[in-house]
Amino acid sequence: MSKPKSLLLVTVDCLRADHTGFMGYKRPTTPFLDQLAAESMVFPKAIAAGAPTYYSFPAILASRFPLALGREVVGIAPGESTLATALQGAGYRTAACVAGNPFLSRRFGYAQGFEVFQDFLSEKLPLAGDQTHRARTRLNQKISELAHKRSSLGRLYDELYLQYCQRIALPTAETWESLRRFPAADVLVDEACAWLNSIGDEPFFLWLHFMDPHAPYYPPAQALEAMGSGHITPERGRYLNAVWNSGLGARRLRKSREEIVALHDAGIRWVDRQLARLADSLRESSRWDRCVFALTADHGEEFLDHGEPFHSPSRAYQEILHVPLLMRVPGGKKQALSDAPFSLIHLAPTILGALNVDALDEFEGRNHWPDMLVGQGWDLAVSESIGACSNPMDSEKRMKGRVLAIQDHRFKLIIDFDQATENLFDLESDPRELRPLRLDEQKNVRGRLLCAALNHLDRQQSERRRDSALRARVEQFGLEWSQSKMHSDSGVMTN
Amino acid sequence: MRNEPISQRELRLPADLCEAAEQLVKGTRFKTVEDFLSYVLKELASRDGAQMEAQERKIIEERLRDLGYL
Repeated sequence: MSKPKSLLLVTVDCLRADHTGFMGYKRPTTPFLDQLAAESMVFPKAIAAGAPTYYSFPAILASRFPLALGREVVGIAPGESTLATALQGAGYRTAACVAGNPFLSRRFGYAQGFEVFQDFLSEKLPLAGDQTHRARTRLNQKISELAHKRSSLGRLYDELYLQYCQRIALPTAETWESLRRFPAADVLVDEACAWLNSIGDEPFFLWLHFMDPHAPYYPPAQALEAMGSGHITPERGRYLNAVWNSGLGARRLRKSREEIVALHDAGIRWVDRQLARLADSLRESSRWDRCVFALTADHGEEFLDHGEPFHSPSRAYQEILHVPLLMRVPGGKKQALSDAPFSLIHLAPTILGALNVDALDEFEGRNHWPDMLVGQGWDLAVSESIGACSNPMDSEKRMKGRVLAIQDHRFKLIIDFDQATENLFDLESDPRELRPLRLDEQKNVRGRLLCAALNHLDRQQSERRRDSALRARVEQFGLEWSQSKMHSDSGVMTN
Repeated sequence: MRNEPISQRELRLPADLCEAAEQLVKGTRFKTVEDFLSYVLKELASRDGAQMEAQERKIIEERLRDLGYL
């Protein structure tokens, strides 16, 4: 019997599909991955099941829609089965290196199934990105409130305050490292190589989550130089990030857009370079050709495509949902894949299929590995989030209305229940989703996608999943209670 | 206006668990274990998104009815 294949799963935060070379990007962000793509299966349209990170990862690791356990549950529920628990159960050595994203921490259940879980959250990292806000004194708050009573004066105040903070109040930023808020890709790859060296020749599952392209964008100088953007200084980078995070409005931000994209792209380039180093290390130990390599992203990033920066959960457009997905399976033939949307809900069972490990009954996605061998077999992707939930620790925000996006190979319906909007796009004639169809256009398509939405809401969960959900809610409640003062207006306590 | 009396039901818990809960509430503003458990259960039940789910389902059903699918 042949030895089981290992798995290297790479997820990159904020990486939209159209910023990778193998998906057609013009800038040289991913030379290593482009080379790898030539011998891999590349999905033309992989779709995140939710955004941002906390609404995307339950699908990636547990093959479960983000709101399937109820909108009260954030992260992986206690006892929930995941790719990691499945592979640990199959005898794999398991480790995860997550670059300091608090929503992918032990606290949110992500350590389950990993014998080593390094999330870098206990280490002291410089926090530079929010200095503008932290420097804001009460007096400034007062002046700001007065100025914002008239919108033009408010904008002027914000601009002057930004310039003051960046040019006068803050100390000089001398290096990119002094500004960075997350460990860079080289730190993760060092950690990964050390672990791989410690486990000898045993089959492994290693998950790496990189944050380099995430805001605030502070890439290493070498990556900027490699991208031809070496002229951007750390000082300039800090200024650009402050502008981008200032809330000054799309017209003002547009002036900084090109340089911001250059910083973001350099972050991608750095990940690519470090992945090349990791692959070399696996080659040297003769493990590369016994290792399935899968790369994807939790979500993309908006650069004012629809007038905003970053990746708010209310934005179900393709720049946020369409992510790269590349799978290299040693011994597998390269096959062109259908351009129908492939939801990341199917990723975990499909990877298990490629590894010849049984998928778990609890998984909501399907094993499409046999379909991949013939290039097709998937047709619809559903994505969901709570639009107002920009902070999942805020229980009130978690309980708001859903944003639901359903797409097939050509059309996409976005329903925002809080905003009471329903927009249907023809992605073939309007790929940038700028012109929603009129309500009387494509009625059949609208009806079909609404039926799919209804089916999605009507899904039933297994008893085990419901049990996990309740346990997660109890844990969540305990955590929130321990962190906040008890409400004195509780009916029980006034008895 | 007089408040309607709240109907109540009895629950049975292991004695050692009740004793542990009595220790937990000692010195807090919860007067009894019943007060404490009622508070916890009320909080947990209030965080149930089932009602939201039902509303969202109803909205989609209405749209499908408009389009003649239901």
